[in-house]
Amino acid sequence: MTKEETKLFIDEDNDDMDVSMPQISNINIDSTHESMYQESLNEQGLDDSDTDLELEEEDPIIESIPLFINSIGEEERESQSIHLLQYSSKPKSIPQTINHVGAAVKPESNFIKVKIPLDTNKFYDNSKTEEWGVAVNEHEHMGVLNKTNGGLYAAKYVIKDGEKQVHLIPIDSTAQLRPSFKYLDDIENSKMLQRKESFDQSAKPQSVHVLQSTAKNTKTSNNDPFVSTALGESLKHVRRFDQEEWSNVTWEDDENLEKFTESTTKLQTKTTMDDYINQLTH
Amino acid sequence: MSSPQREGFTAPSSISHAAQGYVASKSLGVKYHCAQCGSSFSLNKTDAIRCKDCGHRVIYKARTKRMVQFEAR
Amino acid sequence: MVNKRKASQITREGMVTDEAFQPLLQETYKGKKLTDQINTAEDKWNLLPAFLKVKGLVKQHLDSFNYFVDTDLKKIIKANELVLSDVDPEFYLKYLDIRVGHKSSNVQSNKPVPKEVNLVPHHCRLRDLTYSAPIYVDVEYTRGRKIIVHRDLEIGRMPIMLRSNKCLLDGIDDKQMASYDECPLDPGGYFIVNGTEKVILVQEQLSKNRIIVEADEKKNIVQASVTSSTHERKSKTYVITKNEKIYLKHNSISEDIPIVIILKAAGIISDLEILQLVCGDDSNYQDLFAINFEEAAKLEIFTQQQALHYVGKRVKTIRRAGAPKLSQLQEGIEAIATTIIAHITVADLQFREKALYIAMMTRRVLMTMHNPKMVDDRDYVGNKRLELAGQLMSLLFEDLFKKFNSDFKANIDKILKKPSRVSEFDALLSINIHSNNITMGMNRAISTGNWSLKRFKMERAGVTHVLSRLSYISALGMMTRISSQFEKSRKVSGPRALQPSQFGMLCTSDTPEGEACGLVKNLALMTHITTDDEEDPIRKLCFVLGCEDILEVDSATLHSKGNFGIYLNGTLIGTTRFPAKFVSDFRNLRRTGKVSAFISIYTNTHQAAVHIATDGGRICRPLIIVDKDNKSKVKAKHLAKLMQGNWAFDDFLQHGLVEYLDVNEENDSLIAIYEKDLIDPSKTNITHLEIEPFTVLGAVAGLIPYPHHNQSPRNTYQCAMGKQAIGAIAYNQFRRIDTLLYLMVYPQQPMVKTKTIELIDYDKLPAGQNATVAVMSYSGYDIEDALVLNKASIDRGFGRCQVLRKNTVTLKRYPNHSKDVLSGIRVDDNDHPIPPHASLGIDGLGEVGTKLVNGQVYVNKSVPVNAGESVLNKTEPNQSTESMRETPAYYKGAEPAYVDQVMMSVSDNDQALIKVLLRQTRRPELGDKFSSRHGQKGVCGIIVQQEDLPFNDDGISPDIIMNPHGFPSRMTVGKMIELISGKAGVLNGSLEYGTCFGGSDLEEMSEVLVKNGFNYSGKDMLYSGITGECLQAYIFFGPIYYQKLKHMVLDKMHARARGPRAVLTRQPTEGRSRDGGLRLGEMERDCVIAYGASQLLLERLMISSDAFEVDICNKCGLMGYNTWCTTCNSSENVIKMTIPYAAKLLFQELISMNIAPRLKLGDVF
Repeated sequence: MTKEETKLFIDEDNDDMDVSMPQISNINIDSTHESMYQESLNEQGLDDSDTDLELEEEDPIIESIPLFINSIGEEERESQSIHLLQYSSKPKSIPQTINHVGAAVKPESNFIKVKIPLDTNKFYDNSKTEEWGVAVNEHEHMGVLNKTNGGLYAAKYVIKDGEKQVHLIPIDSTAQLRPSFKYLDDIENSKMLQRKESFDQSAKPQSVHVLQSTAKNTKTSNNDPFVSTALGESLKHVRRFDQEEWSNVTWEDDENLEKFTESTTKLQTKTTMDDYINQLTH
Repeated sequence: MSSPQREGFTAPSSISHAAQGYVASKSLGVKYHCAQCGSSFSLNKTDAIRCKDCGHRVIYKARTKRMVQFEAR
Repeated sequence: MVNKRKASQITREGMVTDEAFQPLLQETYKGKKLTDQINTAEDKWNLLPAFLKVKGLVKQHLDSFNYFVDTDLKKIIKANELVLSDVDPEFYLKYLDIRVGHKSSNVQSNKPVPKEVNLVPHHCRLRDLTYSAPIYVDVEYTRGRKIIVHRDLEIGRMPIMLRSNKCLLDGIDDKQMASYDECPLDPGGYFIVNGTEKVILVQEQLSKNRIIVEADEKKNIVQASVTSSTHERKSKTYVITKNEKIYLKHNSISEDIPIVIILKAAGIISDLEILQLVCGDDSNYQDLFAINFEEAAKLEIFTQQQALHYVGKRVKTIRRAGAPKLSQLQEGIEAIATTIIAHITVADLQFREKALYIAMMTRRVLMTMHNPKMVDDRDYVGNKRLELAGQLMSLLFEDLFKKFNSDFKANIDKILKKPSRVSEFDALLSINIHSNNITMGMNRAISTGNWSLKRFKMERAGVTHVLSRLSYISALGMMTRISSQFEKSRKVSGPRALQPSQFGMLCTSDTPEGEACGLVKNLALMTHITTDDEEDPIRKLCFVLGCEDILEVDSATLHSKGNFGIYLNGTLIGTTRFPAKFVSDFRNLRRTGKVSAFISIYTNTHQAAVHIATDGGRICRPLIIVDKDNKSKVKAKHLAKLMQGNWAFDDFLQHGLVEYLDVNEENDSLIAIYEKDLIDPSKTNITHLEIEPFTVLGAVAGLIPYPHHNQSPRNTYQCAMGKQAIGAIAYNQFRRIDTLLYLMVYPQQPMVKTKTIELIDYDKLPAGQNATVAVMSYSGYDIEDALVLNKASIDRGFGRCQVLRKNTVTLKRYPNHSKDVLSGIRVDDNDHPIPPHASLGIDGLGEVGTKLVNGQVYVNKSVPVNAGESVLNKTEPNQSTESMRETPAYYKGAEPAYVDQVMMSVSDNDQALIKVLLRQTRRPELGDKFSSRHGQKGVCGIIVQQEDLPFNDDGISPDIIMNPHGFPSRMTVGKMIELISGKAGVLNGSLEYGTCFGGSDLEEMSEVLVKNGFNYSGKDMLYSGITGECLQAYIFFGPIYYQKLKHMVLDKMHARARGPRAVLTRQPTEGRSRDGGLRLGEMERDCVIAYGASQLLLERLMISSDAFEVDICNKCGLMGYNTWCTTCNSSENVIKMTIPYAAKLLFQELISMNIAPRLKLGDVF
């Protein structure tokens, strides 16, 4: 992922997460899951009634819609990726389309940051602005990108040439975005700093921590096979996260996503259900 | 008959004074059986405990040739 | 033989079918002819022997050990694969593979790998060795610049569980078993360590990594706790209520943290989302929870960073030396990521799973606050896990292996530190030095039973027990035993009570009486204990089956109505809106064998959860699947295949006819007990059918005939007594040299068997005899359950047993090259051996077959006098007889014994090992204990001449007369039915069945009696043996199986007049083994005082005990000696008197403490 070229496709259908109308995206994806599942079932037939999965009668097939799978080409992979973003705290009142101020990722740490303008007209406490001395007008949303390992698709239902079609495109990762109140932390950090400075001036510098005896001779630790001297795994992550630079990414709306529907070959399963399940379970 | 120590014969702490001579045990003609191959052989005092045929290390003493009388009841 | 016999299973109300019983009598289960009609209702029980054939009675132990050796070891190696050096960064050693019992070169092709064990198990028993196999590892390491792969490096020896797949006895036939001196009926599942058979008992524990919610209604506290267990650590996290507010508690955090702060620290910053995750849209929960937000707001904690600071400040830092100092923020992150709920790992700073877990715990607490009935039951078997030998061994091995590696690393570092090395350093040279650690560690743990693991701060004693070889049943009973971790002293009834969820999993009858009652349990007959299964494939499968990944699920919808969470081993992995379909799809996959049969899935509607469990230690049992139209899936054709031997139990499993259910999944099922219940129109949606109802009992309780007619405690008593019965122990019983062995001379299989008896081969190794019993009173020597025995029966061998006792003598070698020797026989003037040496051979060992009386020598050992001297000042190397001291082994015992076997061998440190087996044959005598199979024990009260005993028309006189007063209060109706069935069997020439919930029908048995001219009730007319008159009443008369118990008077009788005294107090010694006196205790003393018998008191407590004459100085009141007072330097006032020696001791002790006890003497009269 090079910095400038990186594009971020956002499927508008997918990114809403209203409290009341939850997660259309996932339902979408989910249903593709199911339809695939059933399709493969249909194809492989039900010859061996003793060992086969029985299709339940309450779940009849109403209609079959051909599936088309699309992908981002190898060379475009370098610069493009598709992510499903969920705004877990976005109320219904905020419109679907979100004006993004900007977005950045830390690809090594799988972290994404999205800046959204804050509506300062409503529910905005101007007195706090004065109190803090910071005018907050944009909101940072952050989240961890969960790699999907394939199997998760964005789907689009189109009527093309008079035929109903469902087009799929694989999603690289999903992320639930949560607001971070960085300004609060910043304020606190600066306060702390101030306090520390004044403290330093008034009194002798003292360490805040009461240390446990650090020099408990190193030999014991070497002999104790159950102690790891290194930083914990999570703290390593934190360090890596802190060290990594933000790399800005650009947005791409799904309107101009012709990639999405360019495929013309119908999806056919080659693997039988049995093979598939064997693959999964062994 | 209650206490094993009290009546009848009491084990002396040392019996060296009670006896006249020792029957030394060199090659004694006591037979032993191997637990594995079943072969019969005799052992000398200094011999290692080991079957002379197969080298197995578990051996049993053969049954006595003395007459043994059982109480039939 | 009466052909019109009604089949027994479904008799109760005359619903009977006439066929199918006879073939069962002829050939127990295999020899059923093809032409016979197969009745699924009757013959489905054949699945049980099929199950036991595959699984065996101790399969849980073997499975667990096999899993440990084959799978777990590799995982441990993988987790600790690298050994690096602090000195040389280039150096590394990597473990590639580990194998037990065979080298890598032996793996190729499909040939079975040869098993590399040290010896045949029986020889290990005889030679006091450990039955073990080498542990080989493949390593890759650097030598200089080269990378070298070394295969088959032995790092130690692993004790091998008998009959496991690494054992020599695995998969061999009876003939080969015989050639190894091994009993084919021996269940295996134990270890042989230093010659003793050791069992690692199954341990019962609360399940790990699961939330348990408890409530204390008095204190108004609700707490959810979870014990997280990972390879590295074990910790417990609580979510508790305090004044209606909810906090998180953890040992490493100094104070309870408000739950909102913890959730914020875990990344759920918005209050709205917290509310959504914890409460959903339920206003009740929201109201209850709202208060918690205030606390965080008051503390002004809004952001994750603030919360982390808050948590970090309160973490108890136990920093190890060398670990870097952490900032407060880092401490907070570390606490959230690794300490709290440690079994959930945080990757990529994705805290959501952890946050969800905490939220789930909080939700459970809220649910319980709202509805107190939502608590979990600690005693519910579904919340328990059983820890088996394999798991315990793996904990131990990992500990030892880590130690081994760190020692190895220290060694390498030491060498690498040296600045100049001549040759290239080969790491392997230093690996072998301490290779004994693993071997010794394993041996020591198993032989002492002390499991001490540094990692978990685990210090457990009494994990292993010596396998009881009192009888076949006692050995078998030990293998199915489950011990609980609860303290025995605590007075709580909960853990001891019989849980309804134990049905079919744990035996309902077999538990000891007294302090361990209900804490020690036994497995039922048809149970399986799971081993760990891989989680990952299951997780993937769930997503395929329509589970929505939890990382993509919106917090707001998580708890919406109809949305079910999917929990894999207690951790939320996703949700589904179609739980029923999900569960049934999953089950179908399991039934087709796509996923392991032991993975359980069940729904919990209260928690709106689908739980999937793949972890080890769950108890489960097989059941027949019933399809949608209430038909058993097991049809006649399937059973036909089974009986022809074309199908095994696993085929039923693979074809989805039978499946394993664990306790939790049983809750999702409706299980019919009999096939007739399936037809019942009132019972729809039955999902499963029991294979056999009598499998609710275990192996030991299965011996009882007609247990369903007995009062339940009687069955429990029998379970304890069945283990004390003397009988045949194993086919190799005469080859065994055990410390103590009781054998019955003429054991018989019971007239009234049960199917369990056949399944566990009790009929091949029985412990008891069929005695003809007359239930009547006779002679007055039969009160209080005493039995009257027939002398003629005893003469013919009734109740005769042999007691074999082992005596071990080792001939030691000493550091100064001297050693113990055997001396020959001493002879008197006439060249006859002196009496103590009468049964010695000239080699100084007892002659095999000769009689030993009290005081005779059976091993004439001599030890060198100067054994302790050092090697240096040893002048003459030859050992003269003068320097030897005789330390012979005497026979001690009131009754003579015979030398049965003399075995000589060499133990592992090259010392001669001599084992002498002494034999006694005992016939029943007054006071010997007998018992029937119904918890009715009694001692022999009198032995009567046969002439004096009553007899019936045929001239039969009883072997035993039992007092009828034993029946009314005990209510052992089963015993009566056993008598009738047994009598019918005797008349019929058949063996009858008393199987639980089945067995031969009483009515039919009565019919047989009537046909043979006897009364239907089993009562006969008897004639008095004394007067010859016919007795006034009809006597209940027939065969009952009687066991002789190991408690015999000969081992207990004890009396003493004068005898040995303790050295310190000069009082008589204590205990039978030391020929001790009988104590007149405090309470007896009180009686004598109350009665005023002062002279008796004086006599008992002083004169007959420790009277001692002292010289007391009447002037100073202290003790002197020889009429001389050392204090006053005179003999003027010295008076002789008698006091207890203990009193004298007390005075002296007081004096030693600078207290002067002065006696003032005065005249009494």
